[in-house]
This record gives sequence, C-alpha cells and structure tokens, in this order.
Amino acid sequence: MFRLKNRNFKLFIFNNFFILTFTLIACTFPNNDQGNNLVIYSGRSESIVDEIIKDFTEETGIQVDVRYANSTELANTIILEGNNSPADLFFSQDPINLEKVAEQNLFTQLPNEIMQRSLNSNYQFNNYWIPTSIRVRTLGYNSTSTQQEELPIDLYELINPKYKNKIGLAPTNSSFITMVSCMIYFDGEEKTNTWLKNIHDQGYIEYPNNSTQINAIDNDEIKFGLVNHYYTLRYKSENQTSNVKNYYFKSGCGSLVMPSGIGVLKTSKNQENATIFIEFLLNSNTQELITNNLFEFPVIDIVNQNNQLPEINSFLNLEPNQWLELSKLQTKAVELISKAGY
Amino acid sequence: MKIPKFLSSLNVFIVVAFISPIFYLFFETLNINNNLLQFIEIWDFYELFFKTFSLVVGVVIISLILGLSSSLIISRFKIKGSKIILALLILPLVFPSYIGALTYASAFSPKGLAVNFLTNFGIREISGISGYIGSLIVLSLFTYPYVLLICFNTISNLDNNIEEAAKSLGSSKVKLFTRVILPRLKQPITYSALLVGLYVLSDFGAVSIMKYSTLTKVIYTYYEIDITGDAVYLYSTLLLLTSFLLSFIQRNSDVSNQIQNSSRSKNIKKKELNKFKLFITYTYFVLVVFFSLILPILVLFYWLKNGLNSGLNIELVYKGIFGSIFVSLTTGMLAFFIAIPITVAFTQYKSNFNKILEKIILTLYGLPHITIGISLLFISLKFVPRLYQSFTLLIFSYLIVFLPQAIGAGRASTYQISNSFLEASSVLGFSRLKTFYKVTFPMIRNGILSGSALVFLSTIKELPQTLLLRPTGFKTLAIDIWSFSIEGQFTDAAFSSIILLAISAIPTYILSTRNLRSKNDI
Repeated sequence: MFRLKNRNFKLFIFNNFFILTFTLIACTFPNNDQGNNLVIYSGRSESIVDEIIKDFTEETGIQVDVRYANSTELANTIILEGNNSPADLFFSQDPINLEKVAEQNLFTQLPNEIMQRSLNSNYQFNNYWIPTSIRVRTLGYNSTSTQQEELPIDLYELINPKYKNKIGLAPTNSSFITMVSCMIYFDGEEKTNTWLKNIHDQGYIEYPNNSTQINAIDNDEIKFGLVNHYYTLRYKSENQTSNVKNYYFKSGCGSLVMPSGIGVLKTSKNQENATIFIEFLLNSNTQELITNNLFEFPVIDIVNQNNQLPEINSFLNLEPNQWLELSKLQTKAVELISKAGY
Repeated sequence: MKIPKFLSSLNVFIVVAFISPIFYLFFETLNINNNLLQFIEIWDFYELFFKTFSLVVGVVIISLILGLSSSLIISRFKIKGSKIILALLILPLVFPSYIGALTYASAFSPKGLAVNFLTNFGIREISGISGYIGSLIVLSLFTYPYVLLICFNTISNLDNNIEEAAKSLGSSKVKLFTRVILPRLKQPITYSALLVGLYVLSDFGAVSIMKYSTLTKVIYTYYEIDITGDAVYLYSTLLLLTSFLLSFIQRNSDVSNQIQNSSRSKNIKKKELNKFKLFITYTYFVLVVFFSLILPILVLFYWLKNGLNSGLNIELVYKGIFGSIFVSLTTGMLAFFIAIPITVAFTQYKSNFNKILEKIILTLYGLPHITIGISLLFISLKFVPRLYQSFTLLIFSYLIVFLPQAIGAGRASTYQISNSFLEASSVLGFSRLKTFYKVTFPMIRNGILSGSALVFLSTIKELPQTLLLRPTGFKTLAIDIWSFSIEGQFTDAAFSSIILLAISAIPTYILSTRNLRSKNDI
C-alpha cells in the first residue's frame, strides 16, 4: 500500500511539473501575429529560397512566412482556397502551375515597369506572373562509369532495353509532370503513353525528387536520372570530387526550358510588400546569387550567366500560349503516369 | 443516477465534433460522379490493395513472432538480467516509424554507411533496403515491443499449472505449445495483431521514406497532384472505414480492459536452461536489441558526428523544437481539461448511451492521421475558412486522435474502484457536484494526467496531420525530420531526430510500461 501511495505521489509531482512548464511556456510564447507577414507559397525548395528570404528580410525588414510544398500541390491548393487564400505570392517551379492559377483569374496583373525588368520579352504572360530564373530539363549521369556513346539521342531512346533498371525518375515531381505534358503536346498522347509504359515495364527506380536522384547517380545506384540541370551542378559544387554531369538532349522535351516564376494573388492584402519581394528577386544581387550559387539562368541582362551553364538558345523554348496549352494537359499527364503504373 | 443534461449534451457535442471528419469524407465520396469501375481501372486499385495488405500481414507476422517468443522466454525461463533484457526489448517503441526508416534507409543505401563498414570485409556494394523489404523490416522492428508488452502482461497473469499438468501427462513440446500455451494467448495475440495491423495501415512516415506505395502514401501522392480528385476522397474514405472497424474491435475488446486493469502476477516457477540453450537465447536477444535499438542510435550519432565536423547549423532546428513543444503542451493541457467531463460521465453515470459514446471515442485513437488531416482541411475551407491553417484547427485535429489516450487512462484508473463509492457518497447526501469533487475527480485525476502526458508525447511525434494543417511558416521537429529525409539531408534529419528522442524517449518508456512496473516482480 505504501508503494502505491509513493507511486501516485511521484506521478503527482510529475504532472504538476507538466502543468507548470506549460503555463511558463504559454506565457512566454510570442503572439504569432501573422497578419502583417508576407505569406509565400513556394514550390521551389527551402534550400533554394531560404537564403533569398533571409536577405530580403534583412534588407527590407518585411517578415516572411513560407509554405514549402510541391508546385502542383500548391497551385491546386490556391485554386481550392479561392477567395479565402491566405497566400500573398505563389512562387512556382514551372509555368504550368502558374498558368493554372492565372486561368482561374486568381492573380493580380503586375505593372508593366516590373514586367520589363525580366529579360525574356517573349514571356509576357498577360502580366499575371513573371519569370524569375530559367531552368532546363536534362539527363544527369556519372561521367566515370558512363561513356559518351552510351548516352541516348533523345528521351525516346531511353526505352531501349540497354537502359533497363538504369534510369531514375521522380514521377510525382512537378517538373517531371511538366515534361510529360510537353511530350503529350508535341508528340501526342499515344507516343507518350507508350514511352511511359515502356520505361515502367522495363524497370526504373523511383525517387521523391531531383536531388535524391543526383545522390543516387553519384552512388552508382542508377546510371541516369531525369532531372533539372541545376541539381547536378549544385551537387558538384558541394562535392568537388564527384563526377556527376549533365547531358543536354539536342532536341525535344528532354531539354525543355522551364522558367520558374512568381505571381501576386488577387486576394492578397499585402500587395505592396508582395511587389517589393518581386522587385527584390529581380535585382542584380539576387540574380547573381541565383546564377552563381544556385546555377540557374538569370533573367536580367546586366547579370551574366554562370560560366558552367550551357548555351540555352538551342533548347526547346515555349511561347506563353503554348504554356497555357500545356497547363491544360497536366491532368492528362498525371492520368497517363498513374495508368502506366508509377 | 441520471446524468445532468449539460454534461450529456457537452459530451454529445464533443463526440459529434470529433467524428465529423469521418462523415464529411464519407459523404463527399458518395458524391463522386465518376463511374467506380472506371476509377478502379485508372488508379490501379488492385495492386495498391495487394501492396497494403501484404505489408500489414507481413509486419503482423514478424512482430508477433518476435514479441511472443521473447515474452514467453522471459516469463518462463530463468535468465540472468531478464529485467534489463525486457527493458531493452521494449525500448524501441520510443522511435517514431519515420526515424526508424530514416536510419535504415541512410545506413543501408547501396553505397551507404553499412558499405563503408563492410569494405573491411571486401563488400563494396549492397542492394540496399527500401520498398517492401525496407518497410517490413523497419515497421516490424519498431512494433514488436507492443506485442511484447501486451503478451508479457497476459502471460505473467497466467499461472503455469496447466502447462505442468500437460507435461506430466506426457505431452510433447510442440503439442504443449499448440494445445496449451497458444489457446490461452489467443486473446492477447488477436489484440496485438490488430494493434500492429492498424499501426501499419495508418503509417505514413516509414513507407514514404522507404518508397513503398501503401494507401497512406498514395493518398498523399494524389493529394499533391490533384487535391480534390476522386482518388483522394475514395481512398481516404476506404482507409478510414477499414481502420475504424479494426480500431473499434481492438479498442473495445475484453483484452483492452484486462491489460489496463491487470492485477498482480502469479508466482510462476521459472525453469532453468542448459548452457547451450542459454547461449542461443542470449544470441537471439542480442540480435534483436542490436537491430531494433543499438543500430538506429549508432546511425543517428554517426550522422550527428558528421554534422558537427562539417559545422551543423543549430539555428535550423531551433524553430522546430519550439514549435513542437508549443503545440504538444497545448494539446496535452487541453486533453486534460476535455477528458474530465467525458470521463466523469462515463464513470459516474453508467448508461447504454454513454457506453456507445465511450466506444466511439476510444475508437478514434487508431484512425489514420492523414485522412483526418485531409478531411479537416476540406471542412475548414468549405465551412470555416477562418480556421484554415490555424493553430486552433491543428490542435483540434490532434485532440481527435489523441484525446482517447487521456480518456482511456482516466477510465483505467477507475476500473479498480467499485460503484459502492458513488452509492456511499449519495447515501451520505453529497450533492452531485460534491461527489464529483470528493470522489470521482480524485479517482480519475492522476489517470487523466498521465494520459495527457501521453497525448503530449504522441503530439510531439505526429507527422501527417501537422504536414497538412500547419499554419504557414510553422515548423515542428517531425516536419523537419521528414523534409530533411526526403531531401536526402541525413545529417540535419539526424540532428532533429536526436533532439526529438531526447525530449520524448524517457517519458514514453515510463508511461508505456507503467502496468509492468506496478507489479511486484518481473
């Protein structure tokens, strides 16, 4: 009986300690006043955006809250949220998802003076969103274990049995879905479907995203990975001894040029600060950071592209209306990917 | 005694609020306009069903073998250090599944840590642990302690006279096991099989990190691609209903009550083992403890050491620690206050209606968090946009799945006390309020408090609901671990994992084993 009492007593002390700690923390917890913070839904990953955001807050004093997720998920979320969206800005990996939001008439139009800062005059996109950097689809490989002649001419050569179990891909990644949408647009549903089925049936390795694929290529888990170009270059800059490399297909959706961009939501109560953020992304310091540290192509002409980056003009570069067409094919692309068994 | 109206309506209100996510998803699914057959064809229904089912069955079998064998050995044979062995075997339950998966995925990638070590023995590459095998190993290693806890409790309560009698009648060892021991363990085995099955069915973290597509992972994938798609609704509803059924059976079985209410262990004569058998037994325990406890810890510390060498950014986890502790403490506290009226109603006023409410509430504990999260996200956007992405909604979602822990613990502490206390109190002319204050509350207080501590611990480890419902910019340790893991940043993930374990491991262990320790001897 004494034992029991003793135990209850200990429990009592433990529990009171628990209450006390809570009260203390509750009192010291700062009021989470999110009303004035700029809310960004970012499809671009934290490792890329975080540094830029920190610089931005330091320079402007504007506090930022970022919700990181897949670009497709965020675009769908914004559409679902409609008028109740807490987001001020949508920062997306690719135009498809921006166009999807634009089509629902959820973006506010950006002033011309801002649009003109971005180099690529063909990207006007009705002023709904603005490109902030350019990326290219590519094939990552390991240059020590792979000979030049082993490299495929285009995406469709990957269904050759010699690539069996050697390819990595991230079927739920927005950029991959964009590439498949591009294939449907240019090569037709049937050809794309056959490609997806063949790759699936001959054997591939699934990854959650691009950076894990590059890791796997370096570790010889896979020989090739369908990725965006900058993941390889960034990995190489962090792991100097690594021999991962980019192979740019001569033509087709395998080397699709994908601007990453940002737009301000109509429902935003922070329009002014949101515009300041876009201007910040387009200033020369940020653009230099984007190309020198993050290995993407800059979008303003006073900043030169990183010398490790290839000449971009030969790659598949879409017009704004083509991006709109692609955004309509996104659901089809997802359906084909799922049907093929990924 | 008749239950006061306000108490009764309060309870009905709480229960209705808590099960609203289930109904919402169900009704949305009824509205799906697509033809069901077409749906099954497009979304690979059968393969998914088979994959999920085979993982559940596989993990249940392995964890039953591990848990049952160790509990039988420890309770029936004389083994030196059995107390320590038992503690070490139970300890792996402090690992959330995603941390377990993280350690195995990072250690056994084709050219990962294990290969660094194995090069000394001439091995340069291994095929890697992921997919079905990876999920099977990780989930089995971190769920068998539940089987062990449950079976050990029951076995220690059974005397072994029958076993002795059977032996003296000349029954063989095999027969003894299949005819005498197993039948008596039927209930705890079914109970723990259901518990483990439910755990696997709702697990999201481990299968995501292991890249194995079960229902939970696929729901999240479809959610990412097409948020309000048919697949999200249909699969969530399917998963929710299946687990509701399993959880209902499990939480309300006789064993559930017995385990929470186990009495003192019988005096069992333990048998000696010869040297060879003792050696085999120790080897077995060493292997199990190594793979389920020592290896994951070693891997975490290896990554931590790596991180410290290359300059770990402590600022990176600061926000996560703060966020985790904040939401968990709030949820734990609220659980305490909300559990009181419910538990009082269930103990002080016994009616059939109350019994149904109690059963429903206890069932909520086993529900897959991802489906509750998705449902609440939709509900908030559609009906109460103010609560969308708010702390209030996040904490409400935690309470739905974790409050049953507080109530369960409160109930357990009252099983030993008979109705006569309440009768005596009313004979003495105490008012109902005074009865509550003088009799019922002191009876349930400590139970609910330790239950609330369990709620705190469960919340701190929670992943999928936090992922879906968190306010923008808000972080917890679990979120950090998950996003670092899928990005392949193992050093950062390990650092957050170690902090999470440092906060939660010891209290989790103490609270999970409190039934064991209340017995005189192990």
